Amino acid sequence: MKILLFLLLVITSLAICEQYEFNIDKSRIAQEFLGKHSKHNNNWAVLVCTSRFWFNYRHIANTLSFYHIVKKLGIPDSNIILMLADDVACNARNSYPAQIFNNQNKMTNLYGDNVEVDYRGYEVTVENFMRMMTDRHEHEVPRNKRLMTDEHSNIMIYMTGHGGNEFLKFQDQEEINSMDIADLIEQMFEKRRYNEILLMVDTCQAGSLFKQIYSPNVIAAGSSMIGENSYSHHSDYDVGVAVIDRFTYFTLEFFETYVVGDFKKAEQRTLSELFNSYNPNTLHSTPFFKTELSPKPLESIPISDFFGSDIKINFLSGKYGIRGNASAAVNSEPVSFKRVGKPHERSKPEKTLEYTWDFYATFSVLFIIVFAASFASK
Amino acid sequence: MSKTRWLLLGALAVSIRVTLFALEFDKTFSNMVEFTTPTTSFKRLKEALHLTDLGMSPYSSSVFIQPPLTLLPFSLPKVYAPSQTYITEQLWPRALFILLDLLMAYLLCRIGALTYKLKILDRIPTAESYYKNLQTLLPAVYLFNPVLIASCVSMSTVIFNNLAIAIMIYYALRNNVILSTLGLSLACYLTVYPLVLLIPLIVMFHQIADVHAGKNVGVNKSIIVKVILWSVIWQGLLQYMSFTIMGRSWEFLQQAYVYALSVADLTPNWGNFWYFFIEVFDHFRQFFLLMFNIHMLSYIAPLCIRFRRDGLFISVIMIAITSLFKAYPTFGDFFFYITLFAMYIPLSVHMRYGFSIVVLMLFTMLVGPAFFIAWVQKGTGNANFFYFVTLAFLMSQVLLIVEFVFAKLKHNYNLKKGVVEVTKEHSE
Amino acid sequence: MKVVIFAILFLAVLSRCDRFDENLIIQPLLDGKLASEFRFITTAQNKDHFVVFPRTLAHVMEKFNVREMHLSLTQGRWRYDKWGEPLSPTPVGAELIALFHNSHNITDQWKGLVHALSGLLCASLNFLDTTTQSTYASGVVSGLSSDPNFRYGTLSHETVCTENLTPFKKLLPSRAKCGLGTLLSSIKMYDSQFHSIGVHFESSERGYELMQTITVVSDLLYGRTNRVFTDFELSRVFDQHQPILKCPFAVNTSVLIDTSRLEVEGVNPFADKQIGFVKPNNIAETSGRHEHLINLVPGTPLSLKFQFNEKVNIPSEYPAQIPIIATRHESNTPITAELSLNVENTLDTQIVVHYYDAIPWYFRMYWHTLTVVGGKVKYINRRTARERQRPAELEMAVLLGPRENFTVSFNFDKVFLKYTEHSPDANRGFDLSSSVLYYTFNTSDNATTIPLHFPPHRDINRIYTDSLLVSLPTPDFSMPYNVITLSSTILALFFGSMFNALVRRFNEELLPKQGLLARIFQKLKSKKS
Repeated sequence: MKILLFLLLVITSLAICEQYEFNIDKSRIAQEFLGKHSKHNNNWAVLVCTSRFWFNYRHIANTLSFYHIVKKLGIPDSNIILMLADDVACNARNSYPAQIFNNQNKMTNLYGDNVEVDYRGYEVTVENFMRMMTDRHEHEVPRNKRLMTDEHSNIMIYMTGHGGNEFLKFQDQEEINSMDIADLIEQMFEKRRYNEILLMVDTCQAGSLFKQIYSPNVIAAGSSMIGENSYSHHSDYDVGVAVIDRFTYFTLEFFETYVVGDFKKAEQRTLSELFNSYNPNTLHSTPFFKTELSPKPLESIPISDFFGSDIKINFLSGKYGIRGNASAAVNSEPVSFKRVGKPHERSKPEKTLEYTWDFYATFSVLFIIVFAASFASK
Repeated sequence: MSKTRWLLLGALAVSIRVTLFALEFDKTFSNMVEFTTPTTSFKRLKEALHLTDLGMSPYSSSVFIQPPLTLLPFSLPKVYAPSQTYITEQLWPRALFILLDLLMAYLLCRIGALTYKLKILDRIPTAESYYKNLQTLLPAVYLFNPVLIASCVSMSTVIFNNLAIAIMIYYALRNNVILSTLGLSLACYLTVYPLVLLIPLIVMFHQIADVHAGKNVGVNKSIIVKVILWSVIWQGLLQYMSFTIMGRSWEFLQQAYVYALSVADLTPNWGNFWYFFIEVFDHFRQFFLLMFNIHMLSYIAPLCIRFRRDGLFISVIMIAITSLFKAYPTFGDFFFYITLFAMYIPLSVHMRYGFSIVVLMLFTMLVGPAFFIAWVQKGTGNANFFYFVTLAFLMSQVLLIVEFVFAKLKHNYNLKKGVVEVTKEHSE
Repeated sequence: MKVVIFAILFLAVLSRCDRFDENLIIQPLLDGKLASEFRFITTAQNKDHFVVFPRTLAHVMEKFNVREMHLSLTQGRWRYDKWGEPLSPTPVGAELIALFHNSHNITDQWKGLVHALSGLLCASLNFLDTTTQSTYASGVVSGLSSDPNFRYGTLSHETVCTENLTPFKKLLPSRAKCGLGTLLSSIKMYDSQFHSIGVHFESSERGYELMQTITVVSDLLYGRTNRVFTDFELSRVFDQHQPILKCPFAVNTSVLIDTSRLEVEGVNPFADKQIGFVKPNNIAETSGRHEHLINLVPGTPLSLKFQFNEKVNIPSEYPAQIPIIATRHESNTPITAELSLNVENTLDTQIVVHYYDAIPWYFRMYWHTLTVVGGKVKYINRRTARERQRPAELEMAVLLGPRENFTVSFNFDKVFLKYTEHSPDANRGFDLSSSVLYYTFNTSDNATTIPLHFPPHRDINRIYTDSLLVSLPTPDFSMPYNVITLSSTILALFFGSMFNALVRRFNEELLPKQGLLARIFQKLKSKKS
């Protein structure tokens, strides 16, 4: 009798271990799925405008232009952190309320009807920027203000405003300097908060901001070298101020000529093409690129690695079937998703059956043993 | 001093002040930062009185940062005559300030007479008549100094501080330990800074003991023990009275002392620190607060060593130093010690920069208020203008104090060497 | 695809779990403008299962134990004297009123609530949580009213723009893609005289009720010289030309055109005639002379035009349209300033006015200068300010006779702030947020605190005064190092000079024997003098 009970105990523990193995199997499946599609699987954008006051309209327009680019190419609002230091759209001085233009032909209203500003007005401070980058928030800070990236995220950081030799001015009150930026990125690297970073800065002497960066997988592009100013492109005589800066203007031109809001085209263009498209004669400054920390040569990095959205979605309708007529909706083409990346794959139902078979098998074996044991004890 | 002279002096002083009160100059002066600061403002005192009338603690808002007993002289009449609001609220405070000025003048007169009698001011023989007339000169200088008249009319409570120190000096000269420590404790009760006068007071008592004994007595332990004991007793009594007035609670300590010491209220004044603590970074705040207070303490030892026979001079210099480097000084503070310096005017033979000091002082005193109004009211100026004028004024005071120390040292040396000094009047 | 989703929602709503109603109230105003208020009311009876009720908002309310919440984001000035009672009274900027279920740890709940709402609506409401913050939180109050679970905060300087409208639209079940939500366009809305977004939430045993409101005052006569009451068309007022179809899952979608504001005592430009009519009039139900109610029918697009019966001139002057007119102004002297509020009773009956004001701690209020002239004071409640902790609060009630007025005034000092406590645009100044006034005709009311009921009961009405801007003297922001250096120099100079003087030893010095030339010069000099 005792021997039988002992055997029972051994088999039960074996069954439990096998059960445990199922968990490992599950995670193995997940890892395979995730690892198959390389280390990069989501894109984030951090767009910062650091200037306040009406005459810095062009900085807000710069930031919103980039916002438009990344949104058109598929990054959703939940993956964009937009920081605007002042409200110029609904400013009393704006003769076009709720509209911001980056071109005097006023063809695009950058503010549109679907804009979400995460940090606005007085919230755009060096402290908040640093907290956001290093994820050191207070408990209550809401999700839209957090940069929730992981080691598979590519982050596109764009900063614009007034700057100088190794510093960038926030709101006329404080500065962030190149050591701060270097340390922030290093902290992010140590916390595994990014896969690759593209840092673009449009200020005077922008190149000086990157001097101290030493973390790997960082590509930086600045609108001017040390000692040079960055200039605005043109003014709009109805709005009354300059509406865009040169560096951003030519970036937009590149995107509108070659990418035109199409993710596929973004996959075909490379970063080196973007960087080579800047002409110092039209920019009136020499753009500065920091590429030594780049993971691969720029010719092999598509623009879609940073500017688009690379969300791979795998539907598992077999296991989580939704009852009722709504399940038809799930199986058909989803309307609001953009077709990005590779077409989604259906999971094979066999995988789920495999799991269930093992589970039932163990317990049936156990049941047989217990049954046999009870028989034997009689 | 003869009675008639006193009456004349007093009547003139009172009439000037009464005229200014009647012409409503108190409203102008009580708004000027030269005379009122957060720790001496009568407006805040009225606010605290009003809050007590409403049944709230005077410290319930952050407006009132003086100790509770300062309310007593103004609230007592209300207890006895609650319905006569004109007398209790308008007439009595003004009369009180004028009376306190007269009391101060009397004390200065007696101090002048005593210093002459006791011969404790190392005298220059050719200026003997000057020292003889000190008992008239000091109160006259005090009563007719326009800045001090304005300070009185502005009803700033700095007069309490000055009176306490004057009481301390007077009774020390009279060799009365109990009452002079009362003066010291009162002064310490009002603001913490006169604590530095404890050791100079002890030296002064030794000096008086020397004079009475006719020779160098040396360190007398009983004096030291008596002074410290009575200071503690008086201070304890005052704090206990405040404790009971405030309904048996110690909440007033935080706001009456800590608040003012930590320069939490950053209203501009003629001191060194308001702009400093507006602009200093937060993580340096504690450090600089500590440094500024320790700095004041660091002068006691060297002065006592160098002037070990002259406690009165040490006290006057320490009063000057505390007025210069306290958190919220007023012109009442500055000109009080300048009045006390009048006892040492004949020493000015040895001063090198006398003229520059006087000119700088006059200039900054006249330009300062203009720049303040340009900044705050007109909006055309910058805080920097006012700040720099204040700095220049403080420079002049720094020079003044150092010059007096230097002059006294030279005078002591000359005395030692037996050189006969002549004042400028007789040199030609 | 949309049809399928709408079908689901329709079925779900039929099962009486959630309910969604849309109303639009349009009121022509006496000075030719048009006031419109959208009301989107979503209710959920089952607190565990939502179909159309926005889950994000419900989650926030549940997490922080909120019983009732009213948030408004307003820009522009409601002209009480010209336009009368507001449809929903709101102050300029952001206002948040919250009533919690229990008073356990309300500070943390309020803090969490304001942060969550700032994330939800893209507004910087998180500045309301720090009463120690110098610049922003004004009027965070508890307990002056009788309920200790009550919190109130305003930010007069909060801007409202498209980024607030976007998440507002996303909270709507219709996502502003069907029904009256399609009329919401940011460009027209922010080009108006007055606009206000409101989110009102209430939790009760009946379930959750959420009312989202948008109030807009549009100017139809923009740039026109002849001032007559003009016909208006809905699509032109809001500049939306796509067809407006009723949402299939909305139970009730209606538009109400209410012309009662044009027929008021004291002025009636239309005399007693019928003011106007709705075209096409076959779908409007006219209830009374003032109200024209149009219920939307599924499948039929709404095209609405209101025509005035005759061309009537807009009156240039008319008596005040509201029982009390409150004006507030502030006068400046160097360091002290005076704030005074004047309230005028425009009616021939008695009225009791309750007044609540919160003065931030950076204006040092002197209670002994508080004077009330006129009227009969029923009670005054005071709460003193503490520097860097809480504002000063004043609450009073005054009984006003017919056509009387009263003035409340007090002095305050401007506090000099630390360098870091100034905002980045320090020369703009600091805001004194609007004061709240209630009036009631119930003169026997013996309450000693402000009755705070939201939405207002019928006999208690709420108006807000303008917010004011007070400029505080600013230090020079470029000077921290210089100031530290210069002040320390004084100290060092004094210390150095004293040290020099005190350690100095005097010695006699024999003058060196002078050379021949020097002695001759000396003799010459002494001969001359």
